[in-house]
Amino acid sequence: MSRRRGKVCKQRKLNIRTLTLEYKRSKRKVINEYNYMDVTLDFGEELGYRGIPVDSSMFVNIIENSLKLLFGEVGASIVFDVVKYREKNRRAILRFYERDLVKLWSSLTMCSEVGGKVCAFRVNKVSQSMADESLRYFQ
Amino acid sequence: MVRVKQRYFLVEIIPSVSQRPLLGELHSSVNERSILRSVRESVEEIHGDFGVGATQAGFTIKMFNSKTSVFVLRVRRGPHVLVASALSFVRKIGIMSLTLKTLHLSGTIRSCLKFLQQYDRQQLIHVLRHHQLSQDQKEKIHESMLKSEQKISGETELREEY
Amino acid sequence: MDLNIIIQPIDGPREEEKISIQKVRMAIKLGFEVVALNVIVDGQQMEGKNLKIPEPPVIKLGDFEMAEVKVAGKTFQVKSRLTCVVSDTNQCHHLTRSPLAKKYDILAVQPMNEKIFQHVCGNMEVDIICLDLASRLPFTLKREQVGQASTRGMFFEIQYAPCLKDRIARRNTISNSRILTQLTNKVNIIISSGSSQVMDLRSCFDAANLGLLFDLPENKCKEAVWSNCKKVLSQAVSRKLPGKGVLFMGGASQLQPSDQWLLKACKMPTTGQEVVSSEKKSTVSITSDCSIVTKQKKKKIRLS
Repeated sequence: MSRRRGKVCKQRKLNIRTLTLEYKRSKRKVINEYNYMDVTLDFGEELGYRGIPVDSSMFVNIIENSLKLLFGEVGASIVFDVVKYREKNRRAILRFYERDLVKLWSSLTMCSEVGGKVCAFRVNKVSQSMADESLRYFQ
Repeated sequence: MVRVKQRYFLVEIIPSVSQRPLLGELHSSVNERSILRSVRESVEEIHGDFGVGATQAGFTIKMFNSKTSVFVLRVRRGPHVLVASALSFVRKIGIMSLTLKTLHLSGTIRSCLKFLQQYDRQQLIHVLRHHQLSQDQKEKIHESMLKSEQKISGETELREEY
Repeated sequence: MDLNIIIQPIDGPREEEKISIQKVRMAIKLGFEVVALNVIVDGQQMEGKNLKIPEPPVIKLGDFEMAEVKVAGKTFQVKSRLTCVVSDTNQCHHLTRSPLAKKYDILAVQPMNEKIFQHVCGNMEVDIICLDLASRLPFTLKREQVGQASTRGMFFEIQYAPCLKDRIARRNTISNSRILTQLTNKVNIIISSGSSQVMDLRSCFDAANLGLLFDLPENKCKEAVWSNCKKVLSQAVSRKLPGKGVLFMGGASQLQPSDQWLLKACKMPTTGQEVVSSEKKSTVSITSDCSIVTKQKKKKIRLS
């Protein structure tokens, strides 16, 4: 018991010493395995092109298809979900793992046709936190 | 001069049980071209357009032996990971249904063939166990194996061929 | 920056202008700051005397577009670019001598065979070498020639618009551009759209992300979209002028505090308004007659 006590004391002494001698800066690490992406599906309606109505399940389908085209079965197995979807302007927030960012983004870029209509995905923002995304989304 | 780095796969073809060939030789529809095509198809299935595009450069079969059913596949370093994962999904070459077994992966074709020689010797012993041989035959085999061992230590034959 | 928006003469000049204005408007919306309108000239149009190089396209931006730019707090420039498909040294000769080609801001060349590629890399003064990456390359690229071109300050172009639609084109683009990035040591590459339709345009961050597929590391991707294009433009300016360097003039008040030593070093009167400051401040050296020579100029002199 006494031995143990001695140890504790030593430790405490050390701690005090370090505190007085140097000021240690600590940084809180926020590790978020998810990334969020704010995407719009653009049919070019401002330019006179015509689009088709897209609901949320179709939106997911489009992305999955383009993933499968570019990255095959590996791409099709990428997990992502649509957190929010607004059908009016086809804008959505996607949530996915950080490691899949490059694959997902590049397959979104490569997607150029939906149901025979020309289209393009416009990536508005990519961020690590949901709060950042939703603020812009509701504007 | 910057070296272009390659990776060499040593792959064995294992025919499915129903189509095991009688004489140890594979079906004639399995040749270098058909192997390459089916591997590329499986890369396309697994990794899509990106996989095919990335592996397209320098994607060839360097050696194919239909008697021992072994081939050496060359891929550039980097995208060889994609090929490695796709090799196990090859089901059919030509009209034969089969599976592929990756024996070795190396940076030079020489070390690939070195491994192949050792592997073949092991296989030979397995095969010979099932046969009853006369004393004369045994001596002949022993002699030829000794010869090949000398060749390995000299490594002259390998250099000449590749 | 996007240095390749293709303009085709469809249904007369009016229709063309309308479409190109649409494209420029889209580019502004996507956040581009510099855009080059590309005119492609076939090799046969440059043979002999019947030289048919059109005048560089001019686009008048309305107030509406400029207001949009100003809101974003950016500047917007439209450049012109001429791309020549050449398969013969004779055509190259005509191209370098024609006065119309000099009117363009950027000059690009698309070589069709190995001999002409060697000629372009070694002798010609162009800014961009573009290869048709969407189909199989007609010749094998050699490290020597590619290296020669990159030491002379030329840039190789990767276009992403052809691979948006066709699957085979996509595969070829990925494999060819992987070869190209390996040969150029991942520098001297620009990524541009090469789009003939409005909807083929993608934003610059999308383009930078696509660079990752072409085996470029992340920082080089950004370079390929932004800073390398800037280099192309300054290279193009220096090519056109009789001198061999580029100087940028600015008022003394605009100098950053870190570069104030230039004033003392040049023994300039501080009351005088004009002082010469170069674009690359880190590589400035001063000669006896108080003129500032950029590194680019030195390099060129050594070469010539």
